This record gives sequence, structure tokens and C-alpha cells, in this order.
Amino acid sequence: MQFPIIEFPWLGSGTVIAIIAVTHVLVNHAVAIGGSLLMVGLEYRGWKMNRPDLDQVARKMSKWILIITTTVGALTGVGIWFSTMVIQPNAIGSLLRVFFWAWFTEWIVFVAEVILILTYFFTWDKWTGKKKLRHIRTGMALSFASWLTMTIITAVLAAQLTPGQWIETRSFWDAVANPTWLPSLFFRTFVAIALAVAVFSPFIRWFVKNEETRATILSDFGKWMMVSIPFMLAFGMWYVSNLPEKALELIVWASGLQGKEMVFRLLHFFAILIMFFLGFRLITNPKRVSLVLSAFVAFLSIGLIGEFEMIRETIRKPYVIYDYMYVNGIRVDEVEKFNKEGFLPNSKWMAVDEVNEDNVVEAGREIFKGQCLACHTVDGWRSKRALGERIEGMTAEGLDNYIKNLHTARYFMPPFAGTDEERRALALYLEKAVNSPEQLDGMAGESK
Amino acid sequence: MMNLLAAQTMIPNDFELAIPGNIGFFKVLLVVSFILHIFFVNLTVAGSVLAVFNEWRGWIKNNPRWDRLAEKLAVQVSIHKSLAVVLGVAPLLIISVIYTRFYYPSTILIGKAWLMLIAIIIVAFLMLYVYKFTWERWQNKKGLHLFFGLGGALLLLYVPLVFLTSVASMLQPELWKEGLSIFTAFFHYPTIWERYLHFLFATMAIMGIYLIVLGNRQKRENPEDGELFVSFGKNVALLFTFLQLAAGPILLFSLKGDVMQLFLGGSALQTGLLVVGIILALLLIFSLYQYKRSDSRIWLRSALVLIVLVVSTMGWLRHEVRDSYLAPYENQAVHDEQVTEQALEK
Ligand code: HEC
Repeated sequence: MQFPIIEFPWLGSGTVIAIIAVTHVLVNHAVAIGGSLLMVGLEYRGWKMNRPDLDQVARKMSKWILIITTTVGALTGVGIWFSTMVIQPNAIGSLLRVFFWAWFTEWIVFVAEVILILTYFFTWDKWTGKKKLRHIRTGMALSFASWLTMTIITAVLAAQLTPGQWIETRSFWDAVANPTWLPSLFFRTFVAIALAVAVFSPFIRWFVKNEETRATILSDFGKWMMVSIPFMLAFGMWYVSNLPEKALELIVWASGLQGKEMVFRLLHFFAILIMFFLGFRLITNPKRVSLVLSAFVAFLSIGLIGEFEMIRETIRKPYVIYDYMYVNGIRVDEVEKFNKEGFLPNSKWMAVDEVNEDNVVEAGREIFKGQCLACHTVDGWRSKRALGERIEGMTAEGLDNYIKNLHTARYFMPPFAGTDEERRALALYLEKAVNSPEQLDGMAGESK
Repeated sequence: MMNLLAAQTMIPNDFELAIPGNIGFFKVLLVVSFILHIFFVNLTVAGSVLAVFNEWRGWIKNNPRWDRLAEKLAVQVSIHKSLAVVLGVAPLLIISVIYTRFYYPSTILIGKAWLMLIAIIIVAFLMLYVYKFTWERWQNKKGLHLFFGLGGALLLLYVPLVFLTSVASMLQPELWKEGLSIFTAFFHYPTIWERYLHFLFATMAIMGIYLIVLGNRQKRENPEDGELFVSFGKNVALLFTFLQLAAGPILLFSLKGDVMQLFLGGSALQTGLLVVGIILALLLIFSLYQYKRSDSRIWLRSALVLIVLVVSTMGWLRHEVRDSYLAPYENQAVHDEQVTEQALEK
């Protein structure tokens, strides 16, 4: 490990990144991309049909879209940078070397996006009458710009899971045009629309008092939903078919329904069915669609997008960049070197440089920080990742044997990278940390 | 030399993947994009501070003109803050990619405070939205209304300190230390408060000039309001530009000795930049003073040109400070491997 390590003993490092990233995806998909599309769609309809009531609702929406995207949306977007650079510096630093110009381009689109939403919001009163079309076009440009930012960032996310030719060529364009980029982009596009319908419908149902207005809007929303779901499914399947084999095998496990594949399938089948049903109700009976149903679908789809992101992150394990770098920041091609020369001597920021008789446990702790903390805690909230619960009662010897086969026993863990002594030190530390933590009190670096 | 060697055990080795472009070009891009970013940061921070100040002043003096100025500022802040954030992305990207070995560790060391910034800025922005959107509705609840404005402004005043800590501490790896709380870090690493003072005064000075422009436009709708805004802007701009004559040297003398020397004659480039910067600043003060006295447009125009020049020069200067600090470590970088090997042998 080359960088200092921050510890989140209770939350766990992965959870910190996940909270920020999932919030961002949610806001970005539901509000910035899908929401802005629904908003200009509405404004356009109001203009075509000469219905100022629709225009008013679009305007209301724009205020909330502005507030949410420029606070939570923008800051969690920056937050993904902030969190990865302090928690996974090796990964984000390497990705930045590969994708710098893609990100730089994205930045330009971001700036355009902000200027467009500000212009759109502040010109409702100014661009009316003959200039209305200009206002609508600004809204469309905004929607397109939001989508464009997703186009670029999706390339990076997809490349982490399926770097494709890049592994050999190290070429920027190979990294961008990786096997899951387009499928995941289109998949996300329709997810965004369906999600926006699900999230905005309860609010329309609740806050728009005029029944006529509400009915027109909701039946429009229903159409967006009905069109999006089939595309979402189709592109989703294309996406899945391009995943690495190992990742594919991990999907059900990643959802937490290990061994219950049938349950997994049924649950998702019904989830989609309910979304479809809402779309259907919105179209056929927009005046009487139930608030409970629309609120339920809102939460359901938020849950689904969260689940999707978590699964996507999980099935990439043990890698953070597939076949190139493990989640703990160790490159695949470094393992052999560390096995021979040792992990500690090749690291910086570790409290000790090598294992010797006096520092075995401390060395073990440093190795744990460097190689395991990226996914585990000792006793954090996520019981499956809290080693305390997993290995209670195991002896140092048993642990040592287990760690030797970490990667082969459990594909989603990286191989241990270090000398035999280092491995024993790690095992000893884990045994102590789990079975007699009181003995560790006062050890350097323990009580921070 | 001792320092250098000690620091080598903490400065990470660079990544295996190459930096995707010409470093010089990246540096130009960094300076330019940072200046754009900081300009809107200035308008956001000073805008929210002055909005609160003027609303309060209007309230206790019972003068609606100040309240109207405050409301104008609150609306402006809601625009500037979004530009400030989005424009900050580019310098963050660039500094991360070309100074990875320094910037990442220094930021990780204050990582939790760094992550908290996300929450803090979100809360600040939401408070400022409440502040802006409830102006009419809460006319009779000024206390509550001011609370939201003040809360947002105070949070925004805290944010630069954390950024300054990461950019100041990246320059002195020999001082890097694990486990410092952020408040200890503010005092552990040198130059942070001096930079902060210099930043605050710049923020107010730029805002003052912005107010002049705003007031002149306001004159078309409401001449008396406009006049008031302009004269307030003149005073703010003049006062804080003048105070920079103290804050600047304070910062200069807080720099590490050998780096400071470069700016005091040790190196033609660094010294030249500083001299140009100071001359431009003096000219700016002169123009502002003339404008205050004569109200003649020509002096305003000259002040506008000069402030752009001053900010650009200072933005560049700031970069030279960074590179002067880092030069010894960068030069050492080539020896990295050897140093690691020595460490291995011992
Ligand atoms: C890429 C993430 C990752 C890293 C890095 C990682 N693990 Fe794991 N580990 C996991 C996951 C995921 C599980 C399984 C949780 C579950 O069963 O749902 C696990 C489970 C375990 C278990 C329990 C195994 C079992 O079969 O019950 C042990 C012991 C363990 N890890 C040890 C380690 C050690 C020691 C390290 C550091 C050398 C390490 N892990 C690094 C992801 C990781």
C-alpha cells in the first residue's frame, strides 16, 4: 500500500463510497436525466395543446429539479471523487490516468448542464409567446446534456467491470469502447425514465389538485413507463450477456439470495410486473390511480436501482479494475513480487517495515489494513463482512491455512500477497482481534 | 537533506500508468481553471456573507434599501454557487492527475473532514435556498430568515479551510502526520491561516467590485438603490484591496525560508511575478480611489481590467509557490527506487 489508510470501523470503507454513489445515481437518473425529460415533455405538451396548466406544473418541477440537482446531485457527484480518492486512491488514481480526457470532456458537459438549467429556470417569464420554443429547446438541451454526462461516466464504470482489449493495448479508445459500455448506457437510459415516472408520479398525484391536469400528466407518464420497461429489459439482457463469466455467477449471491435463485427470479419478475401495472393504470385510469400504488412503486424502483448498483459493484470482486487491480489496490502483476519480497517492505505508511519477533501482531494489523480493510471490518454493522462473526473461534493456524487459499476458496477475494511470515502475522492478528481483543489495547495505531 | 529522506518513506511511488498528456500543458490548464473556479467561489462566499450583513443592517436600521440589496445578492449566490462547484471539478481532476503523490496523501490524512465537506456544502446550499425562496414569505420573521442565511454563510466560510489544509500540507510531506483531527491540522501545517486571510480579503475585494457593477445596472431600475449599492461596493472594494497590502506580505513571510527567498530576489521568474502582482495591485487601489472620487467610468473600466490581471497573476504566483515547494521532492523522484532499495537493505 502506497497511501495512508482511513478506517471506518463500523461503516466499512465500501459502505461509505456506496452511500454517496447510490444517492448520486438515484438523483442523477431519476431527477436530472429522467426528470428533466418528463419536465420538458410536459412543457412541450402544454405548448402544443395550449394548456397553461401543464406549463405551470413543468415550471414547478423545474424548481425542484434545480434545487435537488444543484445541491444533493452536484455534491454527491463531486462526492464520488472525494470518497474514492481518500478510500481507494490506487483505483481512482489509475482510472484517472486512463480516462482523464473523458472526464475532462465530461466536465465541459457539466458546465454546459449547469448553465442550461440556470438559463431554463430563470427564463420562464422572459421566454414566452414567440420565444417559448427557445425555452423548450433549452430544456431539451438540458436533458440531452444530462444524458451525455451519463454516456461518459458509464464508459468508466463499464470499463472497470469489462476492460476488454484495454488490458493488452492500454489504449484509451479500447477502454472507452469496452464490451458493456453501450448496453449499460442504453439500459440506464430507460431505467432513468422509468425511475423518474415512478418517483414523480406520487408527487403529481398528491400535489396537483386539478383533476384534469393531473389526468393528462399521469397518462403521459404512464406512456413513458410502458415504453421504457421493455427497452430496459432488452438492454439489460444485452448487458448481462456481455459480463465476464465469473461475474455472472456472482449475481444471485451478490443480491444476498444465495442458493435461492428461484426466489431471486420471482422477486424481480414481480417487481417489474408491478411497475408495468402502474404504467398500465396510469394510462387507463389516470384520475383514479391509487396513491399507495404509486408510492409503493416509487420505493420499489428506488430499491431496485440501489440493488443494481450494489450488485454491479459486488460482482466485480475481487477486482476494482477487472484483471488489472484488486479492490485493495494491489495490482494483479504485483502479487508475485510481494510474495517474494514481502508486502510490508514494499509499502509506505505502514507502522512497521517487516515482521520480526517483537512486532508480529502489529505487523498483522498493518497487513489487515492494507489488504483486507477495503472489504472487511473487524466488527462493523454488515455482519457478513465483519470478520469477528465469520471467524470466531478459529485458531491462528486454521486462519493461516484459509488465507493461503483466499482466492481459490472464495473467488471474490483477492489472493493474499505477501511472504509466509506476513501471512502468519495476519492470521495471528485476526485471531487476537476476534477472540481476545482486550490484548490489543494500547497497541500502536489501535485506538485512533 | 534529512527531511527529504524522511519524506521519501511517505511519498508514494507513482502509478505504473503514465500521465496522459504534457505536464506543462496540464499546469496551464490547472492555473486557468482554478482561477475560474475561485472567482465564483469568491462571489459565493462573499455574496452570502454580505447578503446576511445587509439584511441585518436593513432590519435594524429599518431601511428597505439594504434589504433589497441583500435579496439581490441571495439570488446571485444561488447562481454563483452552482458555477463555483462545477468549475471546481477541472482543477480537482488536474491536480489529482499530475500531483497524485502529494495531493492524495495530504488529502487522505484529513480524509474524514474532507468527506464531511460533502454534507456541509449540501446543507449550506439548502439553507441558502431556503433563505432565497422565503424572502417574501418570512418578511415578518426576520430572525428565522437570518438564521438560515447566516448558517449557510458560516458553513461556507469553513469550507475553504479544509481545502487550504490539503493544498498547503501537500507541499510539506516532511510534516505529514497520521491521526490529526482537522482542527489540529489547521495549526499543524504552516501557512493555512495566512492563506485563509489572503483569500477572505480577496473574496471581499472582488465582491466589492462586483457590487459596483451590480449597482450601476440597478440604477436603470431604481437610481437611488443603485447609487447606494455602488457606494457600498466602492468602500468594500477599496478597503479590502488595501488590506491585501498587509495580508499579502503576511502570507509571503509565512512561506518556508528557501521558497520565500525565491520570491525575494532568489529567482527572476518568481520575483518578477511578485513585483508585477504588487504593481498591478497598487494600480488597482489607485483606480478604485479615483473612481470613488470622480465616479468616472474610465476608472471603473481600468479597475475591472486590473482586477482580472491581479487575480490571474496571483493565481499563477500561487502555482509557482507550489512548484517551488515541490521541486526538491520532484527532483528526488528519480532516486525513489534507490531510496526504497536502501531502506530494504537496512
Ligand atoms: C474484494 C473484497 C475482499 C477482500 C479484499 C477481502 N475479502 Fe474476505 N470476504 C469478502 C467477501 C465478499 C466475503 C464473504 C461474505 C459473504 O459470505 O457474504 C469474505 C469472507 C471472508 C472470510 C469468511 C470466509 C467464509 O468462508 O466464511 C474470511 C475469513 C475472510 N474473508 C478473510 C479475508 C482476509 C484475511 C482478507 C485480507 C487478506 C480478505 N478477506 C480480503 C471480500 C473480501
